[in-house]
Amino acid sequence: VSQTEAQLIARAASGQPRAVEALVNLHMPRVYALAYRMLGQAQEAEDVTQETFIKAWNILPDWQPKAKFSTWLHRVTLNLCRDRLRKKREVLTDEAPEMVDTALRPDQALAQNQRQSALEAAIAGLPERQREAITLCALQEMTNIDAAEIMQVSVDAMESLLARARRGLKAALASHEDLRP
Amino acid sequence: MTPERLLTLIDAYGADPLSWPEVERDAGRALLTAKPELFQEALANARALDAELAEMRAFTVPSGLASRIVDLAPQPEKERPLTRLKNWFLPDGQLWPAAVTAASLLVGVMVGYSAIGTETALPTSEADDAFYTALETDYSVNFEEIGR
Repeated sequence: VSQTEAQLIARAASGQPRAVEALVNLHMPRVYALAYRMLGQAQEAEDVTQETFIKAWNILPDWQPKAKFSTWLHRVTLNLCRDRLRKKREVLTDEAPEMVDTALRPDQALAQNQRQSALEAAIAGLPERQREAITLCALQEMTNIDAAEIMQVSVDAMESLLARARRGLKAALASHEDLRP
Repeated sequence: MTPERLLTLIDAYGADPLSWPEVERDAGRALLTAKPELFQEALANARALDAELAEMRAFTVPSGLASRIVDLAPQPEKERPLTRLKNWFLPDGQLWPAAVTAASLLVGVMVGYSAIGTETALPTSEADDAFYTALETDYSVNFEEIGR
């Protein structure tokens, strides 16, 4: 943890407006990006981003500079996203067992969208842990060690998740190519 | 670093050595340089996906979200100057901190007086400016603010 980050957090904890703004400018875009990538909805991503920073503001006075602040923020964000995804699954299971999911399956979306959209659909179609791993490492550009800490798995497990995620994405994109006229 | 391990790294992290674990990066690069023919297919296979993922990193942030989050930050408590002074010198009505503070003040004045003419630190506001300027990161490469 850098001296500068520790100073910035201490200043923000004491209520210095410039320090608060600097913390937000440094970290908010990546927090929002992670939430959006995990949840796929802008409003939900905004809500999670705000919840994450409310937790951050509460913890700042007691912040122990053992971990990187960005790693802590990512872990909180990921946990909030997991909660929301779990609740959505429970609602679907408990309240509407007869409901048919009208969302496109990844292969259907692949056939309909351009390649970039196909990749987004393929990522959305990955198992949750693989999606988290590829999002943290390939899109959020976290190191494997930081990503493993955020997901609370071993570095080896992270590597395995990443490899499976990339294979899944390659297969999905290859089938998209096959489906193109 | 074995060829099998390097193939595993490419499989998991992609073709760019910068995305490999730092502790294995140099050894991986060295093996890649020594035996490029072993890894050509895996690298080509990985590069296509790497390029697609790199395009997805650009991201737009909703307009106004930053200021809403700043507004949620706790505001510093504003004490009246006399109350602050009283709490500083006489916490919970005790006298000994006032005596210690007075002694420290006296020593500080003496040291400060002897150091006149050797001051090199920036004035507070300039030091603050330098601190915050050093923090400014050009994340506009990947993030831009959009209207909603």
